[in-house]
Amino acid sequence: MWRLRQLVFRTAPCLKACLIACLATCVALGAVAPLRGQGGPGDCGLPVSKRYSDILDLEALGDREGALSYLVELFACAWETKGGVRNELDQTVRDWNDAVAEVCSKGCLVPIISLHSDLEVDLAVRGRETARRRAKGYMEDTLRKHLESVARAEERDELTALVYARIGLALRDRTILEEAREYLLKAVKLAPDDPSYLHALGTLDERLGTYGPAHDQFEKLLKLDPRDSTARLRLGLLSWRLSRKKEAREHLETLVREGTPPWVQELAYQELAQLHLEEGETEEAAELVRQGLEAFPQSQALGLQLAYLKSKTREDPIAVLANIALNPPPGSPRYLDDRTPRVIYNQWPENELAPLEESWKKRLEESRKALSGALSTLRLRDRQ
Amino acid sequence: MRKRAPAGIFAALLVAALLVVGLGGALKVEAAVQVVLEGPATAEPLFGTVTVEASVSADEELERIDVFVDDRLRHRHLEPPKEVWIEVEVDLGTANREHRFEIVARSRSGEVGRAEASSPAFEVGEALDLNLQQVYVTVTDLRGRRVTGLTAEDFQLEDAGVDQELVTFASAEIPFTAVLLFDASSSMREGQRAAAEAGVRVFAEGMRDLDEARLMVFAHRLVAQSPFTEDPELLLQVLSAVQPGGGTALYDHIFWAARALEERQGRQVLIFLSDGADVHSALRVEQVREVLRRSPALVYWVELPVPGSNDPSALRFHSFQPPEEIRDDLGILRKLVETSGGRILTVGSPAGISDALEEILAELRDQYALGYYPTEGGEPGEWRQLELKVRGLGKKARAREGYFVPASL
Repeated sequence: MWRLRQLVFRTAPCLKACLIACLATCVALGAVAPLRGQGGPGDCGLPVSKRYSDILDLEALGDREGALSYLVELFACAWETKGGVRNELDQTVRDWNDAVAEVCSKGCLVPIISLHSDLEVDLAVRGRETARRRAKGYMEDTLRKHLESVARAEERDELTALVYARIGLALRDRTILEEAREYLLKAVKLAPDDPSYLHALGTLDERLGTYGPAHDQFEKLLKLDPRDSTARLRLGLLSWRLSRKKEAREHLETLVREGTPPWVQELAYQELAQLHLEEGETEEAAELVRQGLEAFPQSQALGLQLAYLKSKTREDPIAVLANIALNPPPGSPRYLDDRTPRVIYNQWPENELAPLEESWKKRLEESRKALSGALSTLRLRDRQ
Repeated sequence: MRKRAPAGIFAALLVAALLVVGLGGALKVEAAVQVVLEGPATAEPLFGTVTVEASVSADEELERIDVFVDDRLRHRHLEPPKEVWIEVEVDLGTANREHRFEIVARSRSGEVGRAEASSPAFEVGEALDLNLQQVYVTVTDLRGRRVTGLTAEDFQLEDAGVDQELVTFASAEIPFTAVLLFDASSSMREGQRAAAEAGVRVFAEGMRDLDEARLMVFAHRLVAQSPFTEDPELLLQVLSAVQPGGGTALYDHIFWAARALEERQGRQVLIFLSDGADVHSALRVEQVREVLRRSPALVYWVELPVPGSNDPSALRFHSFQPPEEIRDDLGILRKLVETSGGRILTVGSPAGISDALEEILAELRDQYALGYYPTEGGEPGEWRQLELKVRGLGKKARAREGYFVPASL
């Protein structure tokens, strides 16, 4: 008996791995009956509850991809099948949330919140608006249930803001911009002093063409940290767009004097010169471009601006152009990777939530372990 | 006498200093490849046939020696001996302009030696017949087919509302200088390089004597470019080094191409291949408009599809400009092309690039060149609207819509 137990104990991890591999393969090959609706009209095969339980197992094991594809398929099936399967799914999600929350108070619902966030993003990408709203409902329900167990209000806000910001950024990266804004706005309302959320919302507003609100976000950022050059650059350009040229000029002049990183300063030279040109101050513009070229001699943009200004004043721009032409070195394809300031400006800010993502990842890993335990407890209780 | 003594001392010091500098120079390590341009003498303006002469010597085997005249490759000597005398005859034509001579020698290890010199243009106190206006015209019939075989009598030209007498008229075989401007982000995407290369080959091989072209490939910055050349292989070499991708700074490079064309003589043509959506240029579309409206170049746009153009948010990817402004700019660009006398050729995919370039080439072959002296000179900087009519039912003439009176007239 003792030997049998030893054997089971030793082979348990292998068996577990085999089980996961089998399940994943079956899902991939479409061999698992419940997802393919073998049960005929009015149902999706296996009981919804059983399938949702399998999904939670995959999530607890850290297989987000598998859990999500399984969930998306279950959702699609429920959506396409008549006969109240949708309601059954609603009820199932609520029941599981209640049950998990009842046996676990260590953030077991966090992986489920994250999974449902991904479901919402996935449905938004597919353009399934009604289904997305339902998935959003699941996420909100799970989040609410989880927050009931969080004692401190501050912590509740912090967590909720992070959940919203993550969904917002995921939607934004998939160019679903209006919906992304809703979430980022909620995140900013919950954590108004967090620069990451303000940057994310500001750049999104800028890209949506809502310059007034974008200006407000960057103004707040600059109040939080007057040395935030990226915020100042965007604020300067937004002020210009809003016809507040004096304000724009002040910000750009500050950046020309002390802007960092270098791409911000180089772009400030270019834009301030353009601003002078717009005001008819050609000489000032030319002087700025020359100063800019002294600081950034490899800048093609500044070189072209100088050539243009020389054309304007009927000087010969050819020498300037020849000089820029020498700048791209032989084997110049690598220049495609060499992003110009304008390219950087046009990209979404990088690593906005990097520190928060790190803590979220850690929290998710811990919560998955807790969820796994909670699922085992629930099954044991069922058998009893 | 007292005043002369210090001058003598200074002269002696100067000689000494020069000796030191000379010795210092002599002590410098010689370059691995030495090129000396021996002729032609470039102190005076040059016309007609001249001989470019140069001596080249190197410490190691040479790979090639290139002779450029006015940035155009005129001669290439492959695998020359270590010490060689180069003589190349070139026809500079009769135009009064500066000429630039450059010899570039490259050794097998990559060492480069070069020598260059420029001859000046002939100085004229006043503009003589420099105000001869050239108008390049494409004539089509009701079905849009090009019409050839017309004579000067078939055209009626008004400059600022005043009838003009044509003093020169030419059709077919008018040499051109073209800049092909390729957007690496939209015309060189994965799997489309072959289409771009085929297009360049078709264009380059369709060029005739005295035609020349430069290929500029750009993304958010210039990626690669050729000199002005009639050699298809030189143009294709540029493409072979390019990787697709990057952003699009179209306006910057249209400006650059237009300025490069200004250095050339005769009919100037600017052809750009791009989807047109530009959010990376330092220059604004208005500034490019200003430059192009002053340029005599015919502008053609081979318009490639905007990726995801079925998606209404396709243009909403950038912070610099909202989509409506990008669309407005595209409208200005379209207008600019039409104003120049060129046109837009929309292709469904890069596979259509060859056909489009072939069509442009054919159109250039079938153009007429009308020359006249404006009866009223106009004020410098003034815009002069041109009205062109062609005899014959249903025939339409397309040419630049006008020009700015240059400041020098």
